Amino acid sequence: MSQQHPETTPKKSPVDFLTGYLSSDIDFVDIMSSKDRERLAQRDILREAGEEYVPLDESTLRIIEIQRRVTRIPRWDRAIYESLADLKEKVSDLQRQVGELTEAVQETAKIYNATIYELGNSEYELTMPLQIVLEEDQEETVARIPELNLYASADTDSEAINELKQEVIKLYEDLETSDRTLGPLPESWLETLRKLIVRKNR
Amino acid sequence: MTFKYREVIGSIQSKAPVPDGHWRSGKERSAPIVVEDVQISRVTLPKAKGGGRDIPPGTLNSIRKQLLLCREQFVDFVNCPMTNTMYIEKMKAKFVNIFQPIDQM
Repeated sequence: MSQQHPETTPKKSPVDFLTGYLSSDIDFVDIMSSKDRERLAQRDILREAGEEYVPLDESTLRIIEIQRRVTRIPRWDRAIYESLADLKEKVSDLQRQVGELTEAVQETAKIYNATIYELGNSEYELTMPLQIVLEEDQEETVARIPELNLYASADTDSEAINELKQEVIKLYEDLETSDRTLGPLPESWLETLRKLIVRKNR
Repeated sequence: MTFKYREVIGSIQSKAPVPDGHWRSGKERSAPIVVEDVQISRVTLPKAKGGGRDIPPGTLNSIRKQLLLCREQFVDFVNCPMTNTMYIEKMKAKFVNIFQPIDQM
């Protein structure tokens, strides 16, 4: 019967001692933290990329730049087209307004003053020249004496003036012969007419 | 403000307080506007160039001024809301110092 001395048992090295606890390589990898594994993976990718990296030459860079510009053009084009359409609309609106204004100016009566020196009547004459207002529009001319609230209208200036002269005489005769009370306006008209008109000496 | 000759002439002849029978002869184109025997104005009818035609603005404004009405009142005058009585009342209000009732003087 042999007796095994404890000292004869071969001693285990520290490494053997440790590996005795590690059943496989997987166990070894598993003890790495997830961050470490990620870092390792990134390092591998960068290494591979560094090996494959070839700097772009001048012509390739130029092509890329042109491609970028080309892709930008349609956006500018659209903006330009939109602005042009907007401008076109505004211009046509202005044209319409100018047309309307031109029409309005053409329709607006021309107003000017004239002076009459006689009444064209055998019985009455003016003591002083009489200022009248002529209003000429596309259809007719209106001759007015605002102070006497008189008007006469006709196709032409001279016809309107002649009509107005007759109106002046009629107003004078009506007021002179009226047996009614005259209101403030007719009263002032008569006063004015008495200064303006006299009977001709025969 | 656009009116036809026939509208304006018709309104003046029916609503303006003109002495009775003044327009009957058909010769007269001008007439005194008389309120309570006081002549306050004088109106001249336009020479109608076809009753259905529009009166040019110059003539229309001159008639309006002879009737002593503002634009709004003139539109009422021609378009009917303003009657002969209402016109006379407006004129009385305009010349209040003439048409004031005696007891208020």
